[in-house]
Amino acid sequence: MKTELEKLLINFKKEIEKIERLEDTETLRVKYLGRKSGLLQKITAQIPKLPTSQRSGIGTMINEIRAQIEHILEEKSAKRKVSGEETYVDVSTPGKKFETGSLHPITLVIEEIKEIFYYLGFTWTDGPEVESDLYNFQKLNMPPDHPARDAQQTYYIDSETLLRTHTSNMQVRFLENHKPPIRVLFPGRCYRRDMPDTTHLPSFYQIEGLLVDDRSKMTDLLGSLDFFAKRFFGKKTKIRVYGHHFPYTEPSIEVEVHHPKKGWIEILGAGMVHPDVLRNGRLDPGKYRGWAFGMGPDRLAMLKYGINNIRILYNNDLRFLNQF
Amino acid sequence: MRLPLSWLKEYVEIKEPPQKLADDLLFSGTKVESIEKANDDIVFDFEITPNRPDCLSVIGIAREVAAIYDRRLAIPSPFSETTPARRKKSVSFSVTETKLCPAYSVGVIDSVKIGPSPDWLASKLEKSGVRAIDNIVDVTNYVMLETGQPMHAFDYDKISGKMRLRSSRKGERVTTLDSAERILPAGAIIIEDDEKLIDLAGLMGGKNSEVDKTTTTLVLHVPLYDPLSIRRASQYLGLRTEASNRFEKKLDPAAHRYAFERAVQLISLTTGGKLSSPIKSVGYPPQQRSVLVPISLIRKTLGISINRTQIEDILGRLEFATTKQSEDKEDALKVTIPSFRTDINEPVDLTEEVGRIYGYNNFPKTLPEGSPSATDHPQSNSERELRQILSNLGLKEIYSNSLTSAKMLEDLSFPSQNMLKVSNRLVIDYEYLRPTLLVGLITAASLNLENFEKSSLFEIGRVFEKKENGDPLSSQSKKISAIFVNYNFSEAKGVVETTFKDLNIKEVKFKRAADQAPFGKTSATIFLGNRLLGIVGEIEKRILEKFDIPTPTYGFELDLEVLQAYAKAPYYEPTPKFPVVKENISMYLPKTIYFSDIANGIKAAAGKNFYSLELLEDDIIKGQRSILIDIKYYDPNHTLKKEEIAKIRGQVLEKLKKIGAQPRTSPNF
Repeated sequence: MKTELEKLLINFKKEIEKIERLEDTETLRVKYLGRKSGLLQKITAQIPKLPTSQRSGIGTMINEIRAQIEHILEEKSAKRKVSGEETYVDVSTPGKKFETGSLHPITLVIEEIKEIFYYLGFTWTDGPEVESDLYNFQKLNMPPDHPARDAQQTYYIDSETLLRTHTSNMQVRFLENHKPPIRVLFPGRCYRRDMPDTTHLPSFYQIEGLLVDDRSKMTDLLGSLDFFAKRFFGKKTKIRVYGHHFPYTEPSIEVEVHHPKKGWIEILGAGMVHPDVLRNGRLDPGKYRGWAFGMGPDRLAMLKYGINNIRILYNNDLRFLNQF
Repeated sequence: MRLPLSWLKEYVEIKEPPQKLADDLLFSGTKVESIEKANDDIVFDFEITPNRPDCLSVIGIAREVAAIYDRRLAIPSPFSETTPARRKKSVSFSVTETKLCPAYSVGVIDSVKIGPSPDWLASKLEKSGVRAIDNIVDVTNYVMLETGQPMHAFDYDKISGKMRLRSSRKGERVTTLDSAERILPAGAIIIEDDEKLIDLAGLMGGKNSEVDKTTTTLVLHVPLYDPLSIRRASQYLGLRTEASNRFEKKLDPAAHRYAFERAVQLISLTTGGKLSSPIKSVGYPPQQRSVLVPISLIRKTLGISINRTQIEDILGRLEFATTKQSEDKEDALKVTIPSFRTDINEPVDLTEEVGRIYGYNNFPKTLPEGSPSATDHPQSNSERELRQILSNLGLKEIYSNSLTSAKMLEDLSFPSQNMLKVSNRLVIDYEYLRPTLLVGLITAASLNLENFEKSSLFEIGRVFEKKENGDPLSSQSKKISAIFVNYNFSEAKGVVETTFKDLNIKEVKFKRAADQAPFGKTSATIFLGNRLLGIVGEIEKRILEKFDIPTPTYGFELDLEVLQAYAKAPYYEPTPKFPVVKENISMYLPKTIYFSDIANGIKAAAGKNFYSLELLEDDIIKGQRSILIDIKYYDPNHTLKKEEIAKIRGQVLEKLKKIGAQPRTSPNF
C-alpha cells in the first residue's frame, strides 16, 4: 500500500506539470482529492481490509500526501492568477496620497529639548499658569515694586494672582517638595503684557531647566548648554556667553548661538541659583548649589525652521502645519 | 543709554575698534544694543540692567572699560574750594523723614548768567540724546550723565523762606516744568517752601521755582532718594524721566557730594556763577561696607582653577580693596565694597564679579557629575503618547492663544461675566482666559475652510474657570480637545474610543448629554465609573454659523488628568485557543432602545462565551431603524459544540426580544 501511495504522488506531479489552463487544476483536484471518488479516498477506503500489522503509519502518510497535493495545487493556481494580469501601469503617475496627522513645531522642539536633557539625566513636570505673585516674583528676589519687574510686563488677575511671566515660577515650588540631587525641566506656557508684533505674543512657551546638588559648578552649566546647542542646531554649532543680571541667579549669563545666516543670536538666560532662592526652597545654600536656565521653544522653532513671524506659529494654517 | 565714544575716551584709554569694545563690554555684562555713527563721533547705546545704576553714567562705563583692559581710570578732580568766596547767602533745607532722603548736598550759587551752553557741552548732550536748553539745566544734565547722579537747581529768589522735604498727601497738586498740573498720590516725595510745593522730587522740578533767563542765584540740591517712593510715584503718575530712572535704583550713597562739587565747577566755567554758601552734606560720607569671601567658594561655584592673586587682581581692577583676614583663615578674603557698587551684598555677588571679568568664554566646559534623580514624571510622557495617538489617526496638532475676547466667548455661548479674566488688559482680543480649548480649535477650523473642506485638529492645554472662593490656582485643568470639520459623529466618537483603547482604558460609558453649549443635541458625556471624563458631539449649528462653518462639525474635550490617572500599560491577554464562532444578526430597533442596551443585553446573555461584537450596518428601512451586528462566541476551554452554540443563540435572541428589539432571523435559527 505504501508503494501505491508513492506512485500516486509521482503521477500527480507529472500531471500537474502538463496543465495549462486554470480550470484543469480543479479537475485534477477532484481526480485526486475528491471526497467520493478521489484516488486518495479510494486508497483510504482499503485501510480497514489491511492486516493490523500493516496499518500503522498509513494514516499519517495519507495525510502528508494530501497536504503535499493541496500545497502544489494552491501554488499552481496562485501563480496562474498573477501572471494572468498583465495590465499597463504608468509608473510616472503619482502614488496615492495618504492623509497623515502632524505634531506642532513647538511640540517637536519641546520634545527634542526634553530628549537632549534626558540624556543628561533630566526629567520634567508641568506647573500652574495662573500663579501667585509670591512664586512668580517674591520668592525669586523680586519684591513688589522691584525695577527688575519692568522687564516682565505682567497680566494680573488680582493684586496677588497673576499669569506667570516665566517658567521660573516652578523653581521654588519644586525645591520645596524635592530633595537634591535635582535635575528637572519645566516646559509650559507663559504670559507677558506686550503689544503683539512679529516677535511678541501675549502668551508663548518657555522651558526652564533646574539642577541642584552639592557639587554643581558654572562650568557644568556652560558644558550642558554647549552640549544642548550642538545636539539641537548641529555638531559644529558655537555658543558664546556673556554676563547678565537676573535677580534669581548669581552669577547670571545670557547665551548666544552662531546662526549661519543671522550671526550671533541670543537663545537663553541662565545662571547659578541664587542662595536666596535655595533658602526659599528650604535648602541650605551652604550645602547645596545649582544652576538654572530658561529658553523659548517658540524662538527656537523659528530659528530652526526659518519662521520669521511668531504669529505663524499660533495661526494654525494647515498649509503651515502640514509641513511638519 | 546713549553715549558718545569721544566722551568715554576722556576718562580711559581706548585703543580697540568700536565693535571689539562693544563685544568685550558685552562679555563682561554691559550690553551694547547698537553702535551708530554721528558726524565725527561714534555713539554707543547701552542696555544697563537695573542692578547696575552706577553704569548709567560715562564714568561708570569708563570704569568697566578700565577693569576689562586693566587700564587707569582718570576722573575729573572735584571742585577744590568748598567754602564760599565772597557774599554770604544761606538756605534752610530740612528733611521730615530721613528715609525719604537719607543723604544729600545742598548749597547756594550766585552771580549766574543764564545763556546757551558752550558748544563742547551742548554737543556732548545732544549726542547722548539730551536736548540742550540753557547753561544751568545743561550742566545738571551733563553731571548726571557723567556721574550717574541726578540733581535739581531752584531759582533762589522764587523760594519763600525755608525748604522742607516731605511725603505728599493724597490729592496735593503741583505744576511741573512741563506745565502739567499733577495730582499726587500719597507717598510721593515733594519739596515745599513756606508757601507752596516747589518740586516733585526725583521726577520733575516745579514750575514756580524754575530757573529762567532772569535767574541770578541758584539753590543746587543733589539728593539720594528712597528708590521705592520714587518708583511708586513714577508709576502712579505715568511719568518717567532720566532722573527718576536713576533715583528708583540703588544709587551710590556717596556720589551726591562729588556731583555737587563737579556741578559748581562747571557752572562757574559756563555761567560765571560762584558758590556763595557752605556746602551742606548730610549722610556723608556713608559707612564703608565689606564682605568676607571664602576663596574656595569662588573656585567651587565657578569650577575654574583660579588662585588668590588672580582673584585679588580682578577685584582690584574693579576698585574692590582686598585684605587677607588672618593667617589661620587662609581661605577668607575680606573685600571692601566701593560705595558705587550698591549691588554687592554677599559672597556670590563677588563670585560673579570674578567670573565676568575672567571671562565666561575662557571657562572650560564640563558636564554635570554624579547620578541624576531617578524618578520619572510620567505626566508628560503620557501627553506625548496622546499626541502620538491622535496624529496617527490623522489629526493635526495646533497651538492657539489662551487669552481671548468677550465677543469670542459669547459667540461660543459662554457668558463672559462668569469667566476668568485679567484685570489689566492691553488689547481687547486678549482679556479672558479660555474656558475651553474649542476657542482656538473653532477659530483655526474656520480659518482653514478656504483651503481645506475637511479638517481634524487637536490641542492640549490648560483651560480656566472663575472661582469665587478657594484657591484661585486650582481652577486651571489640562484638557485635550479636537474638532472635526465635515466629519460625522461616528468618526469623532471613533477617535475618542481608539484613544481609550490605545491607553488601555476600559469600561468607558457614553451617556446622552443634556444641553451643553457649544455642544448640540447629538452629544454624549463620557464617564469612567463615576468620574466625568469629557464630552464628544456635534457643535451647535447656530455657533458654527457665527464662525462661517457650513459643514457638520464635531468635537470633543477630555480631562487630561483623569485620562492620565486611568491609562495603563498594555498587559497581554491570550488569544483564543479554540475556534471562534461567528454570526450576523439583523434586527429592527424602536426609537426607545439604544445600541448600548443591545450590546449590554448580548454580553449578559452570552456570558462567558461572549467574544466580541461589531456593528456592521445601521440604516432606516421603511421608517424603522434596522441594524446588522456581527457577534463572535467562543469558549476558553473547548470547541463549542453545535448544541452549545444553539443554546447561546437562543439566550441572545430571547434577551434581544425581551429588551424590545425585533430580530429578523431565518426560521431554522
